[in-house]
Amino acid sequence: MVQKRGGLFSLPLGFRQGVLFAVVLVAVGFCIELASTGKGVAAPGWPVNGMVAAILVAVVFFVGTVFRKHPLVLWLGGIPLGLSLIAVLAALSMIGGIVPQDPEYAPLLVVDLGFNRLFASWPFALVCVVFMVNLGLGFVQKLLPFNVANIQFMLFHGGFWIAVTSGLLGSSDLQRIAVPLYEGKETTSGFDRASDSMVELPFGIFLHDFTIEEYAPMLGLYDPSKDAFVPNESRAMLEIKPGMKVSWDGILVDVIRSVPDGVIKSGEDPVAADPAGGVPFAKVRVVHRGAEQTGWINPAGKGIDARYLVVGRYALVLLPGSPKRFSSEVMFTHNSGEKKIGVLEVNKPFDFFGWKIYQAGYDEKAGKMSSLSVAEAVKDPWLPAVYFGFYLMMAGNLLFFWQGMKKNGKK
Amino acid sequence: MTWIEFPIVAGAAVACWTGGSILNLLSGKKEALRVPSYLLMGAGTVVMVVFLVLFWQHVERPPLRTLGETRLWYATLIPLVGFIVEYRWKITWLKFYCMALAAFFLSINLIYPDILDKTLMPALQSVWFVPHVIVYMIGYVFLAAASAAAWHNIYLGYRLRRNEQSEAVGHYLAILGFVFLTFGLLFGAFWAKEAWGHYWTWDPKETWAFLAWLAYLGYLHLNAEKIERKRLQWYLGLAFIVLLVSWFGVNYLPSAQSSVHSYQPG
Ligand code: HEM
Repeated sequence: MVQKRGGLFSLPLGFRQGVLFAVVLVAVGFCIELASTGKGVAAPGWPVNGMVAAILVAVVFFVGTVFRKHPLVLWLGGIPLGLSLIAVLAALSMIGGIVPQDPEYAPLLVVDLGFNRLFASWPFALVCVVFMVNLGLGFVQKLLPFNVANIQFMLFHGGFWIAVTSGLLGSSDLQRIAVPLYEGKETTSGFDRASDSMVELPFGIFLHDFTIEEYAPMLGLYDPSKDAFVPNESRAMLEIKPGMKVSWDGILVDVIRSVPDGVIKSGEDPVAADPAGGVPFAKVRVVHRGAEQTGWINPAGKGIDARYLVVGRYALVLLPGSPKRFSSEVMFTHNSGEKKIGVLEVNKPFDFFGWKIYQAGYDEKAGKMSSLSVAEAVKDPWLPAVYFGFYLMMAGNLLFFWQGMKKNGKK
Repeated sequence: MTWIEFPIVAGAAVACWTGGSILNLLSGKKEALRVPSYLLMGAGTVVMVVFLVLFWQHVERPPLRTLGETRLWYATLIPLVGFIVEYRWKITWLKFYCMALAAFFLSINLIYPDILDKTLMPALQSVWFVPHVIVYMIGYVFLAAASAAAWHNIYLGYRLRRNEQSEAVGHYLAILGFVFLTFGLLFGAFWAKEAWGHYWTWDPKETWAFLAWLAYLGYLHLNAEKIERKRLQWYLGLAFIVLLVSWFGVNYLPSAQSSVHSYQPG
């Protein structure tokens, strides 16, 4: 490695020029960002993005094959530039991973430089574009003439190239629309966060029923001075069951009765109610320093006040169970008249005419009583291309694994 | 088995590893101690595996949800990497680092005890949950071992006893770690698509996972560019810090307020 270095602008180009190029690229990006006071940049929509992709591929293949031996092309598709780009990409991502990515987050310079939406900023976009050229040229260098020995390289670099190019260019065709559903009603439009506006869907969603299943309610000993729960001796969350006995250091608790879903009609005692309409109740006996008290405890609900028992400097409370499953029974009606019945559930999106419909949320304040279910309708026409790239990378990854298992490898 | 029995289990595992290590060191002089030393070290890992299985049964969900639970997996897997490296590359010292690291993870769990919580929020109820998290943890374990190897190589460099085979082992561990990291990233993308509607949203956890992946991508390409491995040991040793941030440091960054990836309950 004791080569004599040439001047900065003489051949062969290497690391120094790569770093310089990458740094200038980022600086230019931030200048544009400042000049446009942080408006950022987005990929063009269909069909322009498709044309850009086609041109990128054509130019990379043309230049990469016709001028494959040209020193400038070798450098543009080489590791020194690639590493420089990886380094600035990492630096930019680090900013994006530290500064909250939030349009409301507003120190002025941060906004003007686009730090608060870094992944839609000019410097990030410029680096990505050059990265795609670099990776593409590097890929073509090894692809042609074809040699099976380079297969691991081709799968990794080609796969990443396809995935990232499609993902970035296709990002403007991605539609994610939040659709509020009310029981007994059909919704045909939703809110598009990207354009900050309501949009019509090509189908309607009728909500028959929204249900939440909860885990069992839990007993907790709350310490107000620490704003924390006191761990009990079994080091477990305490799912409530009648007949259960629990102890904290010097505090003994018996669960006498429990009502999973109840309401208060009159007096102290709850009566059982419809699961969607009540809160859990527990009647407990507490013994603490020889004193005994018995009473009902329950979390707050619609028209129901929370009750707890004061035990020394703590409070014994009942916490509603966390949601285990929430789902919406729905019917889709496409503009063409075609209907389909389905269930929306977290992690189980539903396919309908090229859209995927997700169970996104509900009215969390109302909890089980929510009659609002929020669905999300997603259309991502570039997804197959991105996944194709991912599959190639996984194949390359499997081959790479065997390389890692080699026995002997002095360089 | 629950967290109540955990201190006994952890004590037993650490005792096995310590006893086995002492026997292993003595076996240089007394060959008869070799086999018992491996049996004892292996027993420590068996204790952890049994505890994990019983713990899994008890919580009725994969024990991969809290940081305390993931530390159980590290403590189980890390010594295995040490044993594999010795078996495959005849490098004997790595296993001692690995067992020490495992003991360290177990002590964190003793100092900050977890509360057992059987609940699993709906977003985590997915076929991707187990493969995604386990693949990531195996990746972390390999890369922890790679950085241990790198530190060891730096030390050897100072003593002017540079060892190319040991540098090669660090390199292989980095490759294996990178392979698992890549699978983890991709499995995470597939899962995010099913659970949240998009495969990549630049959530802070995702961003830092990407950064860690880039750090090792940088190492692999520096290596591919025929830069001497000797000069890459610092890089390999320090890259692990990025991985640590992506693993749990993210929770302490300003950006964490908007993350959907907090492992901690509540
Ligand atoms: C930034 C543009 C990139 C360029 C110019 C580039 C170029 C190269 C080159 C020339 C090699 C050496 C191949 C050989 O010696 O046969 C290589 C190796 C490799 N690259 Fe890239 N690469 C880039 C990005 C990537 C990306 C994004 C990935 C991952 C998806 C990747 C994964 C790999 C792997 C796994 C190796 C093998 C390393 C090894 O054998 O130790 N590269 N790359």
